[in-house]
Amino acid sequence: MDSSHSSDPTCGQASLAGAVAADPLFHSAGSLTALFSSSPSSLPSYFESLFQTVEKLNPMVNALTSLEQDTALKRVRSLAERGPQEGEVLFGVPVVLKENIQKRGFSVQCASRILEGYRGQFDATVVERLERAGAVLFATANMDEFAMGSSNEASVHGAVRNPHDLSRVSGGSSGGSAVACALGFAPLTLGSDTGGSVRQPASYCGIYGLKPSYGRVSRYGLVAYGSSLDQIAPYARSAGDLDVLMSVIAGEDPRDATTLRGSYVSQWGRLCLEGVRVGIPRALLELAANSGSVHGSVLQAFRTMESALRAAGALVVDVQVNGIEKALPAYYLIACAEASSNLSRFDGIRYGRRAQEGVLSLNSLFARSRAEGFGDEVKRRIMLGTFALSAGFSEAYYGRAQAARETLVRGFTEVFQNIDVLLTPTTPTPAFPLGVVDDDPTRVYFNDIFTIPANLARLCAVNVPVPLAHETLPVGLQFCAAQGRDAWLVDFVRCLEEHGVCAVRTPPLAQSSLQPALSSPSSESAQTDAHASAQVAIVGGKIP
Amino acid sequence: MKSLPTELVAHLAGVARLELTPRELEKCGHDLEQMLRVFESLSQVSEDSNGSVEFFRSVEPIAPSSELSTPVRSDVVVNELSRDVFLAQSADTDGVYVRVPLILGGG
Repeated sequence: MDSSHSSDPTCGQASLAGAVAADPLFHSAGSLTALFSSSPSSLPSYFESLFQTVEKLNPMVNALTSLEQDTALKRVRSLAERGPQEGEVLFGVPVVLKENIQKRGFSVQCASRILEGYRGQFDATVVERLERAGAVLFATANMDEFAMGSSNEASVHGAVRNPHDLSRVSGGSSGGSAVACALGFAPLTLGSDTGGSVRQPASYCGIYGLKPSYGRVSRYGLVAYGSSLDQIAPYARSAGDLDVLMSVIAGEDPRDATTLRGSYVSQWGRLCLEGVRVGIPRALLELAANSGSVHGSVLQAFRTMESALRAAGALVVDVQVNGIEKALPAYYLIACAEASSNLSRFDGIRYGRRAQEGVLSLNSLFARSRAEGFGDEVKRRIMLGTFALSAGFSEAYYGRAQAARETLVRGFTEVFQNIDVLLTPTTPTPAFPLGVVDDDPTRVYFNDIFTIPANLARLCAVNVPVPLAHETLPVGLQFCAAQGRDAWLVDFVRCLEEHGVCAVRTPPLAQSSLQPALSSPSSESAQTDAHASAQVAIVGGKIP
Repeated sequence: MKSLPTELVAHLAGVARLELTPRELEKCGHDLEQMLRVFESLSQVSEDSNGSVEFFRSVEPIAPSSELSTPVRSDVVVNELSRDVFLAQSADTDGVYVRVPLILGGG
């Protein structure tokens, strides 16, 4: 595998490092593989310093829910001893898993009380593939309970904080994995994306987040939320790393009958922006803008990108995607209907926590275990899904949602005959403040308006972080391509990276890791401290 | 505050196997009403017909492209995970079976 992707900003630096300390700012997967392959004995010291960094920074952001040091160090020592083998393109690279992906012995609590203490019983296909490629899985990441949420506040572990501003959300549901990647806990982390759960936190945290086409990556070992929409999805800090990771995790899997034939075949370096046909669904943008909820910085980023693409010779055209305006309600009905069925397995019998008090019968054991175990948002979605599937209503709601989905799939099929890629914002706003309670769930669901069409139509879509000179919070834009064109899309991101129109933003917090351990952010003063340290620490380099 | 009828919400909670407090039932009825009002826009999806069944009858199937097909595996039963794995996930077992409360007579 090519570990010298030209857009990798760090090639060469790591190998010059000598002292192999974890450096969250500069280590890409490609550079780490190169470093460890030439010097396997440096692996243990790297990981020890990585754990120190994690232990210092994680209490401030609450991104990781478990750190499996013993398991990781055991593997690291064994890798160091035997050295790299053929095909190990992620030799020694640290990777973090969202807490809803199975790895034997690791927590798979899905941020829910109902799965308290539940640990993985087997390895997900992605885990097998990562380990076969030499990666080191060392931690699990926080998330919204059962992947239901857009802010990562609905977690039994507590909210995840945005590393660019600790008073704001990380985005959700894969917020922990996004923050872990942004802060350099690992160059590659995995989340899952059912309606935008990887792209939206990527946008809020200033990194890349790719939702692969439905079927491109096996879902075996992913705890199901909406089975026809879910995909395991990667975060990275460069297009090159996305390319390597997708090459490793994608492909057919006999244990997931929905995987697509073929695999991800890297197209690195083939594309040029000139002549690429970019579509803009102007009606969807107007729908969002008319609601008054699209932030100025998002609009500015969007216009800047549009101009940059034209200047680079891309053909930018307005397109009409039939059915796109109905995607939001269709998505919530379908996702919740599938969730109400998928989550019926959590009954206190076969998995996790079982209610002990006032249980008189089997049915009351089910109902009480679930009432005690599930949080409010999960209960709300199970109830909506049960309603959508219930006799007398299913035709009017679930049936119509499926019809709307079919219209949308056809709409995209038609549009992608004339364009290569669709451009939209990823989210209507940058990260919003923690603890903003909105009594109307439909307003909260509106955050997903740009991301859900790709899940409904099984497309691939990526968040790219956009540099904005005068903004403190990251802003992201979404590019979406036809199902199966994942490798093309990643190469397109490489082009954007090379043109300087997208760039990862490193949180000040990552640059503060030379500072003494900071106090927990549970108080206002702790947040102030963190910001102050972050400001001072920009001169910092490597972790001692 | 408009809300779905409490009896309907209680029925849904019953079939969803969720024990909800009266306050949760009330809140849930209100939330569902709000969401369903937004979802009403879907009714236009099949306004030319009597419903989605009609919609699906009326659309031409899209021929799937061969490169996007899903492969099938041989029809062979494989027990990849042992019984111990499944038992280890449960809250209460006797080592061979999962233990549950009395099923008959409890309602």
